[in-house]
This record gives sequence, C-alpha cells and structure tokens, in this order.
Amino acid sequence: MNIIVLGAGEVGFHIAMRLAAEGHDIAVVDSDKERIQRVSDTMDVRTVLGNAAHPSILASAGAENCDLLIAATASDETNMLACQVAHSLFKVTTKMARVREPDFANCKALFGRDEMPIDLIISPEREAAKAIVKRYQVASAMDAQAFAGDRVQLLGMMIRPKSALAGIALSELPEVMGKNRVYVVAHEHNRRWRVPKPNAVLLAGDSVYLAAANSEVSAIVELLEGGKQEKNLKRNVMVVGGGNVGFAVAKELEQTGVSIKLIEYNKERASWVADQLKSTIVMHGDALDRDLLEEESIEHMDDFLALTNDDETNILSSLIARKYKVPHVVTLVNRAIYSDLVREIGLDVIVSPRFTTAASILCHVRKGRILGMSPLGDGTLEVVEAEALATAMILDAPLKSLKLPKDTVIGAVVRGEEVIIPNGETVILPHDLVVLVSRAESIREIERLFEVRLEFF
Amino acid sequence: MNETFGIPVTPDHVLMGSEAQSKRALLTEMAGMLTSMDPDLVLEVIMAREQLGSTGMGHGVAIPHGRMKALNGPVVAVAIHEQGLDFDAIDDALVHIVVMLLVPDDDSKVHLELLAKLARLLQQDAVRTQLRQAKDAEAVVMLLLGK
Repeated sequence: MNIIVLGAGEVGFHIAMRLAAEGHDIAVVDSDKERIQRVSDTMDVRTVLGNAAHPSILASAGAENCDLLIAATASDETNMLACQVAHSLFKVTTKMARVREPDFANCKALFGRDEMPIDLIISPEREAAKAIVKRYQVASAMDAQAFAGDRVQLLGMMIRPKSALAGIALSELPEVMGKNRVYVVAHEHNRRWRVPKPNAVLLAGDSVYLAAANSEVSAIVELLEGGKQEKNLKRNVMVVGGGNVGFAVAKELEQTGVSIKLIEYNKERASWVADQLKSTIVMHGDALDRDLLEEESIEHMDDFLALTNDDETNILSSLIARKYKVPHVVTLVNRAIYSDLVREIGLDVIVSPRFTTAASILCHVRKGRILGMSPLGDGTLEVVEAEALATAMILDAPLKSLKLPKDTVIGAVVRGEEVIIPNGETVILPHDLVVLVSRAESIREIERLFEVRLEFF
Repeated sequence: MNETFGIPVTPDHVLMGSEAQSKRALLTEMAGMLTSMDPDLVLEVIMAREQLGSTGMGHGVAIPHGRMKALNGPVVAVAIHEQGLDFDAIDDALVHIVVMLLVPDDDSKVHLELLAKLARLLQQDAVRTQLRQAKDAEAVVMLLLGK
C-alpha cells in the first residue's frame, strides 16, 4: 500500500515505523527539520519537509498514488484540512485524522462523504479514556479489553496463590471453570508472554489473558478471585490531571455514581473542569504534594488514576498512591521508553494512548474485514478481531484441521448474539466474528485467513 | 476466433497508454471514464472491495469489481497498462490488463457468471497476448466481444 503519514511526532513516528517494517510504501511529512531528519535516519521511507496541508507538499509526497492518508500532526486544523485537500485534489480513498479537540471530535455531523471527508477520527486521548474506563470496570483484573461489540472480553489477570487457576494445566481448565467457559489466549511466565499450548501449567505469579463472554465476566472473576466483587457504587476514586483524558474519564465515571476527587495543576483549567463536571470535587493543586493527598484522604481511595500529560508526574504520583496502599492504580504513560520501566517498578496497570491509537489505525491497512487489533502483554502478542466473510480461507473446516500460523489461538467466535468459546470441532461460518491472538509478526498470515477470493462480490 | 464472449464494453470505456504509477491512480483514471456515474463513488466501491482481498488474479490480470446502486445493467471498463503495476496480486506479478466490472446491487447470479466468464477468458494466454498487443480501443472491444 502507498501510505502518507503527516506529522512525525510520537504517534506518527511510531505508525510510520510499524507500516514501513511491514513493507508498505511510506512517505512522512513534517514541518520540522529535526523530526524529519530523525525519521530518515531510522527508517526506510520517503520524507517531505513542509506544511502537511499544502497541495504542493501533498503532491510531492505522492498523494496521487496514495491509498491511505494518516494525518497525525499536532494541529487538528492542519489534519482536517489535509484530509480535505487529499480528497478534493488527489482522490485519496481512505483518510484518517488525529483530532484532539473534543469540540470537533464529538461533532459527528461534521464528518462524512459529503461533509468533511474523514473516514476515521483518531483521538488518542479519547481512546485512552475508553480503555481506562473499561479497565476500571473490572477492577481486580490488570487489563480488560472488549471485542465484538462488547460481547467478548479479554481479561488480563495475575494469578494469585489462592486463585483457582494456580497450579492447574490448561487441559484441566474446564473442570475448574464448570459451566463458565473461558479460553486462555496468552500466558506470561518469567516475564515472557506466549500463546499457551494445551499442556501449559499456570503457576501463581504468572499472568494470563482469558477470553470470555461478557455476560459471564463477573461470575468468572468471582470464581477465580473468590468472594463478591465490590460494586462500583460506593467507590472512591482519585483522578490526577484534568486534561482531555482525565476530564473524559471523570465525566464517564460520574455516570456510574462513584465519588470522584480530581486534582488539576492549572488553575484556569481546574475551574473550567469544575464547571463542566457535576458531582466531581475538583481541586487545584499538585498531585506530588503529599500533604494535599493526605488531606484528601488518599488512604481511603479505592482507585487512583494518574492521567496528566506528564509521564513523570503520572509515574511518581502512582508510586505515592501505592505507598498509601490504594488497591487499584492506573498510570497513563505516553512515551514508549517508560512502558517497560513502569512494570519493573511494580506499577501494573498502564495505558498508552500511542499503543491504542496505532492499533486502531493498523486495522485499516489490513486485508479482509479486520475490525480491531490491539497489543497484549508486552506487545509481542496481538489480539485480532475479524469478520469471516464468504470465500475466506478460515471458513467451513473444523478448527483442528485449519492451518493456523504458529502460536495462534482462536479465543472466541461470535455468531449473532451467541458467544462460542471454541474447541477443535468448532467450525467458523460466514459473518462470524472471530477473536484470535497471535504473535505480532504473524499478522500478515492472519490477514490471509480472512482475505476474500476473486469471486467475492 | 469463433467464440462469442459477449463482454459488454464500448470503446469509450477502454483506457490505452495510461501513465498511472499506482493501482489507485489507474483505478481513479478508469473511474473517470465512466461519465454516467459518480467517479468518486465508483472508486470508493472498488477500493473497498480491494481492501477485502486483491482482485489481481495472476498472470498480469486484475478484475476489480463491485456493486453499485441505481445501475441498470453491468458496466465494464478496461485498461491496458504497458509498464505494469503492483496490484498486490496473488502471484505478485505486475498487472497489465485491468477489467473493471460494476454491477447493480441485486441478488442476481448473472453478475457472478459474468465475473467467472471474464476470469476464464483472461486465463487464456492467447487472449492476454492479443489484448496487450491491441493497437487501439476498438481492437480491445472486438477481442472482448469475441467477434
């Protein structure tokens, strides 16, 4: 595919690198000389220096031959305008724009074929907010991701010594789980993530991802963790940062009836946020000020969400929250370099908007109807959600006789409203949604399973 | 040649000597020939189908196709590209012969038969060679009509 990436910031850089590594033909445009230099030093792509929305710049980036435009500069206006120019002058078929300002992004009537021609609005902050709310809902899990229109969940859990999973082999799983069906799609032991084989044994201290029907999640968590999960209702949540992410999360959580305290460093922003939110108590102050945290009774918090724009503040305030034994801490981390570090120092729930954004863009580059993709664990594994269309290779054979790429498991199949946790006899039918996990490097082979043949109309 | 292929194409839907440098640019140019339709919509439909799986069927041939609302019968456009273009074809070969097929959005099996007929026709070495050597649009039309 011929792809133009506008903007070589954190998001644009990462996406361009990923796409170039997959063999696509990439051009990167940025107005900053140093950033462009960094791109041409690190990857095999064409680079163009200039204003990303200018017709002549887009032309020299090869817009005439371009299949996909990804506008990810720091400016919403430039991104939106670039999509319009690419559409009107160069007929680029698929256009995505990063739009941060919620005032634009939430205005659905603005975008469309006959309006502003943008096929996908990318909002890393909104994606992160969604992921955080999702994770919050399953508090005892370290991660929770929804697929197939919320019908399937992948739950990431650390296996505690008293957990029902500790010490059992995967083949014994059905006995342990009873009528609640789950599929273990990823297994971490000694910090290495793998797609497990049936004879794998789960040990206390390992982490796993389980695929399960959404309707059974609370029963499953109860079974594995023992005892009822606390309801969200009476929970006390502290949010640090009232930026786009923090604000969106607080707004969403307010609707679940929890009690929220939000700390914002910027005075004007704090009073704006206070005006916008209903029940949230907004404070102006520094999240690293322990007196303030104690005053606001951090030790009684059930959840601590560190969501400022500043990674260092998020990491440090999360560590403080840990000190006060807050049971559930979520840390927002933007820069790739920190993601690994953060786990090392014992913070386990991390959300990287860069990751979630890259994943949703990459879906659109795939052949076949790939509906969703996101990295699991340390990023070496990938979840893929795809619709099996007529004539695709994955259809009509029992899974055990299907030639899947190495280290690939199908965790769930959704047929209409029914969620099927598959076994070797399961057969995939046209229009089934398939949730599978594989190694990141096998994605091209996965695509081929879902590609339609010539005769597909 | 004594067989009648009956592929319905007219000389004004035949593109010769295109200098397009990519699959997308060629398809844009072809969509532009279909004056009775919205070229942007044609391109959108065709590219959406390509996204699901390339129609590059091997041996330098591609048959991009799709369904369009408000179409009375099948519409065919042809392009012969001398240099050849990367179409992401199943055999990774460059594509020289592109036959675009647009059909009405109904359940008729006729469309699938037309597609199959095209595929069978273009699997023949002789037909491909003659198409690539055709000196003008009329010659291409005659070949596809099989007269």
